[in-house]
Amino acid sequence: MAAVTHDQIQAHHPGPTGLMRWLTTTNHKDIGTLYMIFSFIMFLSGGVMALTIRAELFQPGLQVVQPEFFNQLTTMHGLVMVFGAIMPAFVGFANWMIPLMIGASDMAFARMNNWSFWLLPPAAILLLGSFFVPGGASAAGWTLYAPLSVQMGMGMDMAIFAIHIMGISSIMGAINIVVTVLNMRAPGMTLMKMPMFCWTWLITAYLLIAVMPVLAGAVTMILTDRHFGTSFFNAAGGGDPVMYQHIFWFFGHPEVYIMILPAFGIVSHIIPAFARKPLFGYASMVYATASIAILSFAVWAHHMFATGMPAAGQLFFMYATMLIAVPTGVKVFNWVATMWRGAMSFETPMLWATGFIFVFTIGGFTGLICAIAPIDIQVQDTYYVVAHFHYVLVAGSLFALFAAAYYWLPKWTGRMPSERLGKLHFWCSMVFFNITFFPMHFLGLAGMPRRIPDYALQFADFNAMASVGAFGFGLSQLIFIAVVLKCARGSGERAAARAWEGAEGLEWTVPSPAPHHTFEEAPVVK
Amino acid sequence: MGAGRDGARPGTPRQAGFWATMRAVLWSFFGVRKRQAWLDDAGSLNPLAVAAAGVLAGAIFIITIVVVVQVVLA
Repeated sequence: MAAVTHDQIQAHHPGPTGLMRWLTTTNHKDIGTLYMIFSFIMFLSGGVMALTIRAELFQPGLQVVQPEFFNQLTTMHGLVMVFGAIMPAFVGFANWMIPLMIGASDMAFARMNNWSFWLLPPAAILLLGSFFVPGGASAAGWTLYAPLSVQMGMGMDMAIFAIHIMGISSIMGAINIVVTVLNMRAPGMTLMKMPMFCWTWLITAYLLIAVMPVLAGAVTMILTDRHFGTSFFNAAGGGDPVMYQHIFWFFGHPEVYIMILPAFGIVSHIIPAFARKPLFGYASMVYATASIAILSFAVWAHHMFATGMPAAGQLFFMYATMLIAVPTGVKVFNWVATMWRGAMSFETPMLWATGFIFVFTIGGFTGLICAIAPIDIQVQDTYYVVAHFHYVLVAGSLFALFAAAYYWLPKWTGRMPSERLGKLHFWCSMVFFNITFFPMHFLGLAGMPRRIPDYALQFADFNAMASVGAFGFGLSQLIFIAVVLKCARGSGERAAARAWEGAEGLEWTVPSPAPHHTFEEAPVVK
Repeated sequence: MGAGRDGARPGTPRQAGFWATMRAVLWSFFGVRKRQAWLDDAGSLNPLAVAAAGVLAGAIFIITIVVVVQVVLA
């Protein structure tokens, strides 16, 4: 990007150029940029899979793809979006922004940072390449439930290996963030003065370190069941396929918070900046984040109500899940209270942030509905659940990522993003997102199961609507590419150091674009 | 850098006791804290004690739900 151009680097720091610069870089800004480019490519790849799925579901009957390939698409769409797009995008933001926000010159382990990133492309190649091997990609669903995952072809092994690699990358990235945040803050920046994005990432990093090994264990057990004669999940050999679900969701539920807590941090910066008021209840936000993280370990079996469990188990997980709504509600309350009587303006980042609050809250509420065991048993594996988690992950995580991209683009590129294009991107995304996913609630309530390529006639209208919305949503993302390219090429209004009038924090004290090296002398925070 | 070791800095006010730490952690479970109480916490809490209190409170939380479930099912 324009922020870290060749000439600027050469002036200060002679070193490799061209491709070798990117392969060998240990600079947090370069690595942050690499993460974001990678995640956007994966976002587009996962998006193409989603659109193929929606093309098939536009009408009842089989028109576009075969059922086997359809299952591969739903599986890989989930894996690519979760592990390839959303998670690396947040790590990219962490790399770029955490050192700038805490006044550090770089991440604590700069070389490990390089390795964390460069593990990802091979994992992506394994994942996407698995479409082309005999038997095709894994078709067991992104959750890779046994016994399906024990039965697949070699595409499954490639997915397992890819997950191992991405897990190693995530754990190293998380360790790097924890050590950077705890040890490299500028003098005077106590933990309770730290920007919310750093707080939410610190807690997310602990979650990652805690749960990624659990996922690695689960997929390794699948691998040994597949090839080495074990029977962890094979009932015929004395194993239990439901045990896989317990292990997977012990990872999987905290994973949901891994994908949303950094988004909470981002929104907690943007709302105050454009309401021109300090964040309401900073301490509460920190405490609520910690609370959500702790509770996230005690709710996993709400994904498994339909597997059959004693009433005591159902009630426990139902109550625990509903209680998580309390700290989440505190956060939404605090964002709204921050806006209350603020001098608000709705530049593009603020539009995305307020849009996030609106649509994410819908996803939160449908989550509460799914938490109620007797309802969940009805809607399990229907499109209601598909609607719910897309409201959380697209309207939650993705909208927050876009909010953050528009907010910090001036700092990365030195140019203000086009307000006209940014607003067009927001409104198209918002409208098409709701056209795509809101009807899925009705489909789910009417009983349409998820992960099927064909459906009964009564579901046709809402499916057609969802497919039209999906293509609109997909095409809307091309606007974002135009915005970023425009900034990166250096066209558009020049950004000041403090690009947004109400923005606060150390990152706005360095010039825009941020020089290749910042805070070589640590700033002092009063 | 210094900030990471704030707890050990000379001039740090008194260390919070067990109940003060538990109170802060329990408020964190609700997710709300008054500004003055937070400032007191920030000045006096020991991070390791907070982590221990968090695990303890988490266990109490789970036991409480289990008890409520047992009462409901009784």
